[in-house]
Amino acid sequence: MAKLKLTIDGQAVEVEEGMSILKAAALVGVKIPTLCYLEDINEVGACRICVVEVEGKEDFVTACNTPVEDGMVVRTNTPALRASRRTTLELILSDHPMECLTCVRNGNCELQALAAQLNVRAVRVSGATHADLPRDDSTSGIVRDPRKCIVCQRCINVCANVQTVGAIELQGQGFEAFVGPPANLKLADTRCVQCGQCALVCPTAAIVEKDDTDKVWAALLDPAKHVVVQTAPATRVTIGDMFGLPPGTPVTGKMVAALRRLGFDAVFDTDFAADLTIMEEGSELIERLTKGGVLPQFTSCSPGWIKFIEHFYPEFLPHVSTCKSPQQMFGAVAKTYYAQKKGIDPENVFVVSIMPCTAKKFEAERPEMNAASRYWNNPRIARDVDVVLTSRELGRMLKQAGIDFPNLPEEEYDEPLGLSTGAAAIFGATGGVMEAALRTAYELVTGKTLEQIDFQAVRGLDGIKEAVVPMNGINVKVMVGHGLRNARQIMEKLKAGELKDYHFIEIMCCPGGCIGGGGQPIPTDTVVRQSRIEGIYRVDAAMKYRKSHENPAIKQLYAEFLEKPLGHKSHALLHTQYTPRN
Amino acid sequence: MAFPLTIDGFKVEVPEGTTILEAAARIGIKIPTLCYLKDIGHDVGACRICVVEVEGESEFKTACNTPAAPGMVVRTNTPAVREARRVTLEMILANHPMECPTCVRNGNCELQNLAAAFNIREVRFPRTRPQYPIDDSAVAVIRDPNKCILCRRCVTVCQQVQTVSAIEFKKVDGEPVVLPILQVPLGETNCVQCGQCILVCPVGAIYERDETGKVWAALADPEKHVVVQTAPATHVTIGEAFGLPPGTDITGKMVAALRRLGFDAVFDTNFTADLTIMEEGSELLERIKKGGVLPQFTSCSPGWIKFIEHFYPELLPHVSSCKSPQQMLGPLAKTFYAQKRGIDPKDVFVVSIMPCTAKKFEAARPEMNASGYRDVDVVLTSRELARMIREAGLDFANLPDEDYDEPMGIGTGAGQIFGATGGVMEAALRTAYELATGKTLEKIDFEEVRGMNGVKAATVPMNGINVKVLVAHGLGNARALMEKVKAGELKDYHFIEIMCCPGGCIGGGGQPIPTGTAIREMRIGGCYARDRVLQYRKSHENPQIKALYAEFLGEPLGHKSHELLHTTYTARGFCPKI
Amino acid sequence: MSGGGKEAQAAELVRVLFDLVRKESCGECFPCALGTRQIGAALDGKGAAGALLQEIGRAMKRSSKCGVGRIGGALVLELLDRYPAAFKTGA
Repeated sequence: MAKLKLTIDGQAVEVEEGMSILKAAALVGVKIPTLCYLEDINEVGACRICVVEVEGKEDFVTACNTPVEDGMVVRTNTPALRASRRTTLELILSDHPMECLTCVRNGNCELQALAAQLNVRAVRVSGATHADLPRDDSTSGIVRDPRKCIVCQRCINVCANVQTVGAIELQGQGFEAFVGPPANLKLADTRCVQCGQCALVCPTAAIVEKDDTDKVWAALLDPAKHVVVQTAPATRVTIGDMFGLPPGTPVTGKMVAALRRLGFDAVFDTDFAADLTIMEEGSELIERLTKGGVLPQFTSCSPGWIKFIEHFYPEFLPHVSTCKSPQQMFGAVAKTYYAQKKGIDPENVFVVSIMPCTAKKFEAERPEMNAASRYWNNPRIARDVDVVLTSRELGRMLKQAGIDFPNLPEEEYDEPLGLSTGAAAIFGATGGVMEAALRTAYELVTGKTLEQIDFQAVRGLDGIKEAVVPMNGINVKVMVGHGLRNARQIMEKLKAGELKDYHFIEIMCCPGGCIGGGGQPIPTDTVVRQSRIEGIYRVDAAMKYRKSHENPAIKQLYAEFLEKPLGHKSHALLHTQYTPRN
Repeated sequence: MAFPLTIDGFKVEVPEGTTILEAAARIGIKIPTLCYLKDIGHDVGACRICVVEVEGESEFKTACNTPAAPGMVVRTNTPAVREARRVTLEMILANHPMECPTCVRNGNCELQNLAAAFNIREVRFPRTRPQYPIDDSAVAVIRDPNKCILCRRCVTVCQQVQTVSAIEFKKVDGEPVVLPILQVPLGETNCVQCGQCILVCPVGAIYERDETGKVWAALADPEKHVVVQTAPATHVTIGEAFGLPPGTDITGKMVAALRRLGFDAVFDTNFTADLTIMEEGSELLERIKKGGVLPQFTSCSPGWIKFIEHFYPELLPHVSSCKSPQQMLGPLAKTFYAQKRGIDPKDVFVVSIMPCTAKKFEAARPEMNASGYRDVDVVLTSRELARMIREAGLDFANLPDEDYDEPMGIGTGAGQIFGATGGVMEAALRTAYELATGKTLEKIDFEEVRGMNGVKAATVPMNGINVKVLVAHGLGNARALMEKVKAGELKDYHFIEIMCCPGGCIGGGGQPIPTGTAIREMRIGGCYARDRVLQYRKSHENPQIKALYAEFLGEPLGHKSHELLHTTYTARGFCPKI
Repeated sequence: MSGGGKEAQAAELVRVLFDLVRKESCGECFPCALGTRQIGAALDGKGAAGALLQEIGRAMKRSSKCGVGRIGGALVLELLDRYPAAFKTGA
């Protein structure tokens, strides 16, 4: 590409054609302030904070979406620009509730940070056109507070373009414009899959997860309750973000220690249930392969993806594995096998999940997720999983309890639902479920030991990845997609009959997989996602067991309770069915 | 004697004298605190945020000031404790102005952090405290009692550490409040404007007068030739505002940042620190030779100068007549530099970047117009410069390292250590020794005068005289020395360095927040590290200083020096006058 | 609402007792300094009510630095228990 020469604040810089002024300025050490801009997702120039002066142009231009031109002379920090930015920001603040001290994003708010950066000391205008918009807490996982919305449109664009869901849109016009579902619908009445990607990109607290921490504090207080907790694979490389550790730092042992200090009676691992998922889902795949079932089989761990296919491609639901997600397998096992083994009344077992995910809150509330109740024939056992907390909510509880997270000792999970393998850990990254399944399926099918267990072809941030693995004369063809735009592409190919020779397809709702989930610490961007993925594979490499079927606690579970994969109890507790939603 | 106790079910062994707070920290439990500040010995237990349950006690105990005892059983996170903390915090918030986005401490506020940690989503109580006027009567330090949470850290630092007692805690009309003594405006008190109260304030109730607007305006004015000088202590502190570790030498990046902000020339106060040594060292040698008033006191620290003017005016003849390095650079910029560059001195606009709030007061003194103009037009604290850099979007940590401009851009290691307590003394000794003896000083590190001890002493033989020196920092230590001088106990001492702020200028009231003891030590380390790597380490070896004398000043204590670089003091006495 | 004779007397007693606590409060510790003012506001009918006042009373009783706040807190809890009407309307 052609190189262009320009001058920014008196400094000469040479850049490639097509680069924005914003990026060119960063090359000379000038970070032009931005607010609505979000690389690759939102470059709409709505907020006008990033305005700059270009010699020869009367009007300011927005640096985020104006490409450089040869010979351009740009000034980023003139009195007129500072005044303009400040006025714009004051207008935004005039319509923003002044409640930082009680706001969930206090200390992690881009508007708050920008106000500090631009040294705004007074709001000299009055506005408040959004002050009366109602809060929408109709869904299980996501709460919208349009009063705090600055109409940056990031959420709209991530929902429409990255996830191709389009549950929210820009409504109305001008200063009165607001963001919401069309036709004044409640969010719960839309096709929102509750992935929470909107909450990750929201610069303020206009979209947040539903806070369920009070339910957990109450359960921890209740002496009658035996409160157990499970931690999703992706949480062990992300919780540290909230305590200043670099993204991707493995904090498994510290998280266990922290949960014990909060007062949980047993600290277990969703990774255990991830290994169990591999046993069931791998067996299901082998059965579909050998008995001529519907293929390709789709993974079912990601509740955002499940809701997506229920809404948008219900006709393909038979492709989806009947296996519950690890979270729900864990809940069912905790209230049956574990309660029985420990001699605890299953009514008193209270299961809390720590999840990277807002959609998991929806999943846990699905009516059918009461397998333990059905197993014991006891309606007082309500849900298999009682409360789902996102990584962010756990981080907040730990801060509230004053736990010095980075300096905690490393502790071990409790038995028996705390033992897991590296195959389970990698569930947290895109491609991980597939790789874990291949590690086990290969050995179960061929009876041989798999030598090269790292399937590099399915790792990384490429949107769609493929691999072919020969097993007993069959070339098993697999595909991996993450982010619902990629999922939609795959579904369209399936619809067109182009995926007939594929056997197994992993779909994760969120870009990067669960490490990029909507419940994860903010910020979660591409660089952070990459670091977390690296962290996950480091965890895998350090594990004693790296194949799910080698997990001794899983073997014990089958020996003592479940008997065999796809057996009677498995079907009752670990498998489910889906609901076409349209 | 160590003993065991139990905290939240965990056994912990601690030595006698350990507080519950410290004992809990050992097992990874950070009991929340608000008013507590260990560095200034402030453990009055006012806020009651750090309350814990102790088995056998019906009342909660404050962890910050309750010693751990053998066999004690402590619970830090029970529902009752959580409720009590929450109610207290909520009542604080009920009275705190909800204006975070426009507050100067937004993003660096202990109350904001605590509110975030406590997950408070609603304030259920009304405001109960009266509305107070903002007190901006002082040149540098502004108080907003509406934001004050009554933690009283400022009172402790002003009364106990600085022994100034310009402010106090009392009930006025039945309402507890922190106010200047006798309820006069702060500008009418003994306040020396050291800004130590700002450093310890957890919120935005005390802050420096923000003068960035004046600087932005000057930079935008095409008529003005805007020059800037950077104090020694800023070389190792500004980086903290951009996430770099305390004590990191950011000299080159600071120069690059100032140039990108648009300053026409970037000079170094370290240069005039060297000049100060030439003048002040010559003054000392003259006093010794001619039987002048001894011991001589340093005069670089404007908080200290205002302190002695208020509290010990009778000792003013001891103070060196040298202006501070800031006030030496100002008039030189408007005479020597303007002349050299052929610029009309009325168009030269001098900005200082200082670690100090009292420097704003110093620059505003009526006598500081030696050039015929205001010698220094605007003084910015380190914090204000950081704000300007942030607003301009400069990626400070990744800027290239650039050099100062001529002819006032070279500073020696001696100039650099002015930023740390003992540094002026050490710099003076390096030069005085060589000037007095004509011999080269082999061991130039005077370790005895370094470090955080409150008062330090050294004896240096020079030409048969044992030169006896003392160094003090923090006005409490200064006061102790002044009492000794008054009692005639320091007659055989020659030279005393006093810095107003604990640790010296690296701990100045204009520095990045937080500034605590550990951070002060790291910054001091940064000053000496930079001293070690500079080409010149003695002020009289500075080639630009030699050139300045050769081209312009003539000689130390000469006619021009007296006109531009020396000053007089004002006996102020106790204020407000009772 | 103008209470009956006994209720009105109780309300007056609450107010007198609380004025004493408020005057004695030195203002140094937060639960007492801020709590006495919140209770005062409640008595004037301008503040929090019911369960919220109980929370304040409990915080004052167990968190305050000295006897004034602790007694003040205990008093609030007792009074809320015996004469809740005195707080509801500010008497």
